[in-house]
Amino acid sequence: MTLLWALLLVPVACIPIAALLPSAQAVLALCVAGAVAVAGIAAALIPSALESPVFAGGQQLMLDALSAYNLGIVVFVFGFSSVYALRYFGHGARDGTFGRSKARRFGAAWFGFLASMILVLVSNNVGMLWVAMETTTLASALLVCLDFDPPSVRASWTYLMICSVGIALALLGTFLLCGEARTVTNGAESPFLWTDLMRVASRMRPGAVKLAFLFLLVGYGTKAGLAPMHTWLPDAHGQAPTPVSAVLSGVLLNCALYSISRFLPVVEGSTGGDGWAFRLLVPFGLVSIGVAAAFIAHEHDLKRLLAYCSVEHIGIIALGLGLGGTTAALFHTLNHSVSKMVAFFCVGNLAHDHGTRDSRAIGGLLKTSRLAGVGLLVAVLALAGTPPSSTFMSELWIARDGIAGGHLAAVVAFLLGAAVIFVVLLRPILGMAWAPAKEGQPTVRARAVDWPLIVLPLALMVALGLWMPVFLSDALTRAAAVLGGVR
Amino acid sequence: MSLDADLLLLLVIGIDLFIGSTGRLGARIRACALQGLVLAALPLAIQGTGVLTGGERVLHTVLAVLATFLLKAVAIPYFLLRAMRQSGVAREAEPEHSLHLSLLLCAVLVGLSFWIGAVMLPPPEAGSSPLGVPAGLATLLVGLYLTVGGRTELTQVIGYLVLENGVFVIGQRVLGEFPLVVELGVLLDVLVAVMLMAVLVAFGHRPEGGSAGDGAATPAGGAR
Repeated sequence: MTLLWALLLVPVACIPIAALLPSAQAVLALCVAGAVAVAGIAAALIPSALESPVFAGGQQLMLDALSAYNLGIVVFVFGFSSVYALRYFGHGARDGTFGRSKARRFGAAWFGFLASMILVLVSNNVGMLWVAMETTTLASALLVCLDFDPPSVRASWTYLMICSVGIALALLGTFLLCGEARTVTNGAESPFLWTDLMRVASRMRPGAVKLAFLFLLVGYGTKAGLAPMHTWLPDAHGQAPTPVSAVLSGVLLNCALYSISRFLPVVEGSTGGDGWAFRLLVPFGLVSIGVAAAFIAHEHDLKRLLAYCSVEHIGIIALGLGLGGTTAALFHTLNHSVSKMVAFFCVGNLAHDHGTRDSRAIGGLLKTSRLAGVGLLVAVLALAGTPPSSTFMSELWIARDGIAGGHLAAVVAFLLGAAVIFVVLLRPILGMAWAPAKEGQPTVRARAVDWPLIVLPLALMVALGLWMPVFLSDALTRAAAVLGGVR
Repeated sequence: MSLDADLLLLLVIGIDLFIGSTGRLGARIRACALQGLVLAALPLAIQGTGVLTGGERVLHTVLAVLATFLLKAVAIPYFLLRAMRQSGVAREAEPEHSLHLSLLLCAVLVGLSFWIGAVMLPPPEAGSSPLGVPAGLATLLVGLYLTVGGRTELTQVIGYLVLENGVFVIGQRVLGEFPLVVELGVLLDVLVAVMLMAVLVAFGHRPEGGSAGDGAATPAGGAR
């Protein structure tokens, strides 16, 4: 279908355009225009893809319910982040610190990043899926070291190095899985197409498929930030420019987790549905939550705080998948992405206004920067799972599904971890909100563009916590069905 | 044909052990180049030289072999050597490490790979080399050890190069007849190229004293 091609080609076409535009402002405007165009195409595609998979390019490209759901989150977060980039870099574009060549570099990498994430979601060919994941690393590593100062170069290097090792292991897993598929198909079908893998899954030997999945889980899990492979994440997310942090945390991690979940039904097919692959996700999820709790408690840099919080939420999503709450895990993906995006927007504004990201150096938040302060407080409350936010709902569903599935110990550990994180995450934020303003701290008025950027997504989070629209619950059910539904 | 592949794969394992046991950076890089050369010949040995005389994929195979050769045996080693010279100090790769211990560890990793290859993976089909998976796993594990244990960016990149060579060997073994495998391997080389670029550009121009916060892991730290 031509729309599917357009979805890929529009951001690809924007890469050279961004690299040639004459001014920084023009590049930033293009970022918004391109993101809106892609969101429009996606909006046209998603309803039909939820009904039945859309194919293009032979069978190489496919948009099914699972990828359509994730695509919706990607274009939403990317659209908002593009507008935020316009606001964030706007200053620099006017006073010259965000010059033309830097803007071109940013624009090209920004669209390269978007294109590669879309390719992750629409690839039916697992080899191409791997290529796309590798490209996301390259494009985002460029974005992380946009400022090219020693800390960001160092963070970018760690990111590139660790994720490259991960991606090499994922390629090995892909080879092992497709090699096994080749031996059972005898060349009748392509062993690289996911749809064909699903068809022959029941004939593949469980041992070989399990070994392949281990490599895939560790490989893509590195990119997803699952502990203990998360070590690159706080540096990269902390050092990146804020719009980039929002996209890295908000959707890149989802894309990596999506890549893992793609292979879950294949493993299930070959093992006869004994839930081995799902169970494997549980310890990774719990360890991620535990590690995040330990590190959040000692972190004062607001962006690194949010980065560790992403480790926690990716852990919760993995745990949700593992405990059989597929629908809840997918819902949590949306909630985390949107809340985390807003939290980064607010931190970016605060850091700009106050000249620091250290939570101890900022006080009187609700008075000195009212919108960003209240926004951050609400976003972090949502991230900590406070009712009536939608995050609370999805965490509740995960616990409910876990208990229904008889995984009482895991649920208790999860709730314990969530409670600890609630305390340690809110402590620095509440401190900033209620401590008296520090000496010399400016009082900042929000700009008009900040209102929709911060208020709209937060309102959505609260609304979804109180009321689930039919189309969303429908989309969740259909996407979960791709993964085998609620077990 | 199986004999040729076996010999090449044994050579790959031998090079792993050599890389693990030498402290000289230049020797390591040259050994990587040799491994690249062996890897470029591997598709021909595994699929048979018949692919060069007939069939529709001749051009594709030739191009893939040529690309592997140029990247793994020529271009990447060349730039690695250049980065080494630029950093100046790097005659010894890891002077702190005991090389005997390192060699012993690599030997254990090779043994482990043979065990994993024998126990966990299904037996190879008749006619294909039984060494494929163990050789690939050994290369992968040695590469992983070198990457994780590498003290400087340069030794990490060399380790990564060995690691991806391991992935390439296993790919050849399980999916050898698909040209896509070589292409994906080439894309891994692109990552190495980007890392090298980073080493040459970003770390090469670090101002003196700028490495105080980020540890001793700077190849250029002493030179510039």
